[in-house]
Amino acid sequence: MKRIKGICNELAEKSDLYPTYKRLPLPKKVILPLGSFRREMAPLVKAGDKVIAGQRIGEDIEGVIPPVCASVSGKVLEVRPCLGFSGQEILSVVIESDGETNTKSVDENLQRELEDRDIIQLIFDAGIKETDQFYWPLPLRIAKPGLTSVIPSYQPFKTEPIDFLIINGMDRQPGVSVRRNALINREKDLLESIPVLQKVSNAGKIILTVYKDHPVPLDFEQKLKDLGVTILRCPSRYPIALEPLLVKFVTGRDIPLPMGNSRAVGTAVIDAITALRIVEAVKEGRISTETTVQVSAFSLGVNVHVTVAEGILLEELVEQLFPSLENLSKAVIGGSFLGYAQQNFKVPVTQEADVIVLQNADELSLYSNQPCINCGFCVRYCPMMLMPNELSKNCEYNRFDVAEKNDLFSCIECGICSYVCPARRPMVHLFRFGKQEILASKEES
Amino acid sequence: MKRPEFYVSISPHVHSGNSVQKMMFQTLMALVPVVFAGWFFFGLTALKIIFISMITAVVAEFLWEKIMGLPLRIGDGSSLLTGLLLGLVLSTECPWWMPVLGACVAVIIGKELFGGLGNNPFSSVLVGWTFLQVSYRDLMSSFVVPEPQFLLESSEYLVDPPLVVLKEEMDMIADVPWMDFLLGNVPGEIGTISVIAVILGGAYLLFRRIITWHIPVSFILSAWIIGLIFWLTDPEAYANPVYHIISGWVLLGAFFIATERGTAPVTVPGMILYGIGCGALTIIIRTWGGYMEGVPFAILLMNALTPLLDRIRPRAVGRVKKIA
Ligand code: SF4
Ligand code: SF4
Repeated sequence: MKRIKGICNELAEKSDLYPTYKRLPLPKKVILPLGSFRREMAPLVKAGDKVIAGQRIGEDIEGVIPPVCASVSGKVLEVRPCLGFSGQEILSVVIESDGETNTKSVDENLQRELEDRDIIQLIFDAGIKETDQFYWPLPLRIAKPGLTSVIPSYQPFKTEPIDFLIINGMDRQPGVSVRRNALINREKDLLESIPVLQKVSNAGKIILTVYKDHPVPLDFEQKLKDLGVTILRCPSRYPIALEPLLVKFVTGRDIPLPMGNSRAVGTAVIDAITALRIVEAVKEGRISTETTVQVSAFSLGVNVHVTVAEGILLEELVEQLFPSLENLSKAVIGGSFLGYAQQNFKVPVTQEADVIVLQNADELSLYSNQPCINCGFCVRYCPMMLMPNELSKNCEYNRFDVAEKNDLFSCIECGICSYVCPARRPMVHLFRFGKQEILASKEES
Repeated sequence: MKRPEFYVSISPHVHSGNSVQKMMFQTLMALVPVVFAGWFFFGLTALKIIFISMITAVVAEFLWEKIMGLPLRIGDGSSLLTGLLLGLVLSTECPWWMPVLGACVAVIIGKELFGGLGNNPFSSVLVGWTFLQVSYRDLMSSFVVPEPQFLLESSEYLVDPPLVVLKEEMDMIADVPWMDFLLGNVPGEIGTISVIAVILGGAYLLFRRIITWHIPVSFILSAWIIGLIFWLTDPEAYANPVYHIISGWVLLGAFFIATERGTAPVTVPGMILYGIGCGALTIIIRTWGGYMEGVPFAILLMNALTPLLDRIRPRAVGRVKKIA
């Protein structure tokens, strides 16, 4: 185990309200983005078509990323680029719900004994999306060498065996408890996922990581042990749950960055929610159409975990939860450290979103354009061992080549440097700007 | 400021609440025991010098920013801190115009000319101090014997600061009770003499995480080790290393001056090398140099090396040899 720098979770926790649970009715309208901005998919439906929940509506021609499935039954209103919550326009399918609850599932395979290949296919078909951004989509990441044929030949390390499979039960950032609650409430399902994962990944070791203060019942721990799973209690320190640092902490190995392919060091990471979705997909043939997000409005004293069909508009979600909301100053999808502030409430809440933070004017943290005072706080806390002070200055004054040489692309945009900076510099903004400029200039040449 | 209705900004959307102002304020708080010790041993004259120096520093920065048409940044308290530290490294024998002159030089030449807080290559306090030291050497090296306000007796053992004694009449130093050194009951500058007060302040800084332990600890340790080497080679000619550390300046320098923002390295190896360099140079200048005091020059020299030391960067996570 390696020491990881960062900030204490307790330090950043503004409030640890006990969460309540809620299930929302079917949304009136959903927007389902086809793929991410890195890779677009082809739509399989067109405006006017009728779809039922679970029906495949978009797929990747090369078969690399899992397909997108309708989350509600109803009529396709249009297929057009829509704003996603990360601020990019993505080709999306807009569906108007007709209130039907029938669901399509891939149940034809379920009767007979499942081959490894069938399991991977089921996982693929379930259309599971993940909160973290990984180098490879889920099925490719956890499949043992030779299991999937869909890996395009140019992808390196497909023959690398998986030494460590890490099931990450830690939430990504302070104040979030989605994975934590899923683990506590669904121990049995998690236990069921282990043999499945073991089968497809052929992992040398499966490790479940939880925060130190996470309650693990003794019998659960014993059962995990019987299945050959090690529980690793990690320090409550943000951002240990992010992939490069998690792998470094657990195995001591460095994922080569900026490529970020954990398979290169023989590890695969999935989060606990994904593990549970895998169980649903494999045991019940369920297509993953729902998402549970935490909605936190600390000023209102609200911290609620909402289960709802994927693709619901933020507008509708907020309206259902807070019919008379005033004084909203900022809406952030994806958490206070890693999330994106929304300019427009017509964005879909998809499975990639784990938490929505609503802030009022008093909670805002504003940036200033003060110069860096070279205090070194950011260097002290940067988990990636970069020197954010220099990088930010390089990006600010257009010395992008220097920034790139000093590992700008290793920055995981965790936001700690901004968080601790006494001059309140918009560090992450500068880094993203720098990265974009470099990528753009590379594309030109 | 009237806030617009709705905000969009880049992540992160929370902040630790840390600010330059807070940091400076906490450093000022940490210096309270030192100021108290100054008053205790030297009376109101000490407070007068500190006060003049602080006021001048703030006014100088204000005027400079006004004249140059820069945004006003006096609110961050950095000039206040520079003024206070400068006052603490002067002797009570200084006439009133010396802190004025020193503070102006410290703030304007030492800091503002380079672009303000954080961009000055040399510790602004020491720039002011060095200017005075070089220009008015006689005035800067006359000291009074402290007269404690209550409880303690005035010390009769020394009439010169221990550092002068270390240089000239080494054997006298052994007569001074340890307690007088620790409390600061010896002649010297206002803020450098009291070991206990400075350690209290330094501990507060460490506790509030304004500074890390690397610079002070490596500074003090390396001064001790180099002093020890000298002492072991010839105990007659060189002083016990402990005297070097408790006889003033080293502790104040290690906790408050060497750690000044922008003039010290920020990476761990850099900080440790910087501390070692400061400590070693201090003893070398004290032993072989012409000036009474080595710490300011040692720190200034190491300040000059800071950009180099900052190049010793830690290996970034994920920076591995190219695979495939
Ligand atoms: S955002 Fe990047 S530079 Fe800043 S602390 Fe995180 S990894 Fe380091
Ligand atoms: S924390 Fe902010 S002010 Fe301090 S060195 Fe980093 S960027 Fe500069």
